[in-house]
Amino acid sequence: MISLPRLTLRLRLSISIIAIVALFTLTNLTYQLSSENRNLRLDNLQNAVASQLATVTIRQLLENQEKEILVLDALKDGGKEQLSDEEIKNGLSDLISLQTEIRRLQPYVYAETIDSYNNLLSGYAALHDGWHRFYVGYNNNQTPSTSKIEREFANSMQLLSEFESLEILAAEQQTLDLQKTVRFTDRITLTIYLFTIALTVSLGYLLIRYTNRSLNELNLGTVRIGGGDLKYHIPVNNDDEIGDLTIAFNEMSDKLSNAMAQVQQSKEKADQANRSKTNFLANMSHELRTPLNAIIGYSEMIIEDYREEKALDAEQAVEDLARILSSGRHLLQLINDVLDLAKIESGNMTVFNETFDSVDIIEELMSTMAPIAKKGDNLLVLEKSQDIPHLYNDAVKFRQLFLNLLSNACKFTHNGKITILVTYNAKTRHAVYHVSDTGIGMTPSQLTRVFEAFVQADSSTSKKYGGTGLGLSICKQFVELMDGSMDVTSAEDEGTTFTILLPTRAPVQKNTDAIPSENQQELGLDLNAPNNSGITTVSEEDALGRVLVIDDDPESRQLLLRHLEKEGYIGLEASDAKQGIAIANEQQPDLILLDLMMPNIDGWTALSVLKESPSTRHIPVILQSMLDEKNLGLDLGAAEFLPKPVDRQRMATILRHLNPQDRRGSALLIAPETESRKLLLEELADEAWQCMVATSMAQVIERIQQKSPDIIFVGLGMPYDSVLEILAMLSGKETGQPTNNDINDSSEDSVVATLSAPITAPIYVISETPLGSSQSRRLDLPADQIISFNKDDKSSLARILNLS
Amino acid sequence: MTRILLVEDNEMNRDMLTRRLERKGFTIESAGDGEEALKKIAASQPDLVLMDMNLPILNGWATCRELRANPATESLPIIALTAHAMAEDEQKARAAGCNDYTTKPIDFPLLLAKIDNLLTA
Repeated sequence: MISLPRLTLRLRLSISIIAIVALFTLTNLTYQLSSENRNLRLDNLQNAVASQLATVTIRQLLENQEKEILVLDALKDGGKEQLSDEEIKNGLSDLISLQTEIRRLQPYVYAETIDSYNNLLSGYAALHDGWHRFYVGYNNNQTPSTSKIEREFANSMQLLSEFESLEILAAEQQTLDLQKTVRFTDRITLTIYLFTIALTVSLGYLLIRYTNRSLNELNLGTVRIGGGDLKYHIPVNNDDEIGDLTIAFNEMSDKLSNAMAQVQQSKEKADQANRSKTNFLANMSHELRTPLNAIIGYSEMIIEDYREEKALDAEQAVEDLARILSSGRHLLQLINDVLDLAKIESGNMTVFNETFDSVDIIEELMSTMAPIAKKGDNLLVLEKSQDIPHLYNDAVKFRQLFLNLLSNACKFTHNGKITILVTYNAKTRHAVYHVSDTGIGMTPSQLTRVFEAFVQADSSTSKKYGGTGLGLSICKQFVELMDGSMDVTSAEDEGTTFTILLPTRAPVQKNTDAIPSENQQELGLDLNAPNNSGITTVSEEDALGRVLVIDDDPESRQLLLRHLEKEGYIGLEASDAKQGIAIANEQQPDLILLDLMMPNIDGWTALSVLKESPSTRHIPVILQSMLDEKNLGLDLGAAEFLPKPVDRQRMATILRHLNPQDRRGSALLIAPETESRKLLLEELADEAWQCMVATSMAQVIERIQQKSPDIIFVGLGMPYDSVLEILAMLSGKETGQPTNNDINDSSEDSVVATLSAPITAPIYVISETPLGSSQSRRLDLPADQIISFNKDDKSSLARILNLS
Repeated sequence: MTRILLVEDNEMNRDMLTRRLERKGFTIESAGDGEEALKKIAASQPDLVLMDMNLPILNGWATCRELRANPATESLPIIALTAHAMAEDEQKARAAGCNDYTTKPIDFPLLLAKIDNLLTA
């Protein structure tokens, strides 16, 4: 099936032109036709005239001839007239001429007159014959009878006349016919001509009107859309180019309309966010003032009381003071929460990821919350569906999050059950935590606002249950920062369940732009560290020492501080050398971790300043860099070198060595009894190290259990394989089979050699002579933990014990 | 004895103000929300009302408007207690019909002065 082509403008125009050209051709043809007919008329006319002329001539000739014959006849009767030969010849030739003349009529004969003509011919033939015989027999007097000739003559004349008349009639008839034809073709020509003009004009007009109308519609549509009515669709009435254009216009206006809608939406969102912010501020203002009001008010009252009465009603006073205290605490919690939220909002909340066991943390929290749960007569239960893999995420936030949820559950439940169900979805690699309680639950409308800031279930909640109304919104934000999701289901009086999904691997760190404020920098404190979550911040007495971190990169600074905190140090920080030097002077830290790559004053300059200044030159400086600039560093006065990226173990080792507070400790020597060992023991004792010795695996374990050593030396004559075994055991790998590697004597003790926990103390493999490179390699220890020691070579040991 | 109705939903605030005002010789009655306030005013009209604006059920502004709409309480002196500190809060309180307002934390001497002002006017 051939589908009809679209009636496009092009097609219309083409058809119009073809039609016009066709008609034009037709006009031309008909004109040709009438032209031909006119010519025929002309011919006809000529024909008639010629025929007439010829007839007249013949008549004349005939008459003349007859006259001549009569004359001759008369002459003959009267006298003796003889014709000369020439006269006869002339006479005969005249006859011939006449005949010829009559024959000349032939072409002018019409179909209708042909019979007449033939009659004429035959009539004349007889006459001719008579006259001929007359001439020929003239001299002999043998002429035909004159009366016969006369009769023949009259007949011929009659025939000629008849012929003439018929000819005229025929000519007239033909003229009339032709005239009719001509008139007819003329009419046709004119008609076609007029028709062509009319058609051309109409087609032109229609085409103009059509395109005009379509374009006008398009124009109006465009104007209307341009005027703002983006939803208007120009009606598509034509299936042609203009239609296509209209469709394109409509599509464009649709796109515009969508874009506008999106912009409008964004604006509304922005407006709403703005309104939310304003609302939040208003709420916050109210919330903060309320406890302050109590604090100020009650304090004033107590003062008034005391001034006026000069004595206090103790009971009332205690009550009032308790109110002041609780208001203060509430205010503190509020401020902390608001700061958390503000930090999250401004993108300054960092996520510090590490690997941890979430179930462990939950169990810890459960024991923390046990007394509170008991107070509400609530049962606290943990269920896990399977072994939950460790999470690589922010443990601190995790703790804060669950503490909040558990605290809420305990708060809103009495005489009920609080269940924490943990499962793991291996497909999506998410750990799923459900915290359910059988408490007062929430209505659907309360549910919709559960995560909003400052919105508690209802206005009486804070009165009855306390809380800031911010906890859950902080929780939600935290969960999102941790790349998880949080949801809640609840039914009034039936209880509530919070469900949290956390990936077991957190991706890219979000909100890493944590630039501490100037004030924070001044204090050298890191206010970005969690302060209310239960992670212990090391206290002054417990700390192993105070370490100043000077590093311009906030991330690595944070990392180091966390490492330090974990290792039991108090961390101070500075983001550039100038600040670092100032803090070092002021705070007198025990150790300094200095990054070499810093803008403005660089690490090297800082190092030299620190080592020159009398107030800081005694503080050991540990250089940090990605490049190996150890020697240069040591030459310039640095105490140690810590390559980047930081190895926590390494750092701990170095810190332990260098920390003046922590220099003395206990050392464990795992070596056979030899002169060298004795020597080593002496050296250590000189430096006030407490020493323990061990010669077998079993003994090692025993010693370690007795007192955890701060430093371990292995070797000094021990067989190489034994050393490897011991190293393996110390690093926590099970050796599996019962081992008996007492080197000196073979006892029957077979002990499964495992430690309960891997050793964190630094281990040094010590030998009398330096080990070969392959042996060193197999030990899998950093190069500076493999040292040689004998009575002539004590430098490595000294360095370790920081005698320099 | 001047009778003041204190409309305040926060227990501690109520306790504080009640005790301090009572010590200054006023008789204090209290209500915890707008609706309760209207009931108590209808029952026994106080000489002055101290109204917190953020109340449950019926908030302070609405309660104020209600009181002003009622010819019996049209000219009842009302001092608004607001915790917000923005300028529009003053406008809002006055628009609702309050005679005066004070922000929290309450400056007690100032409050006494305002009460005195309204009662002697």
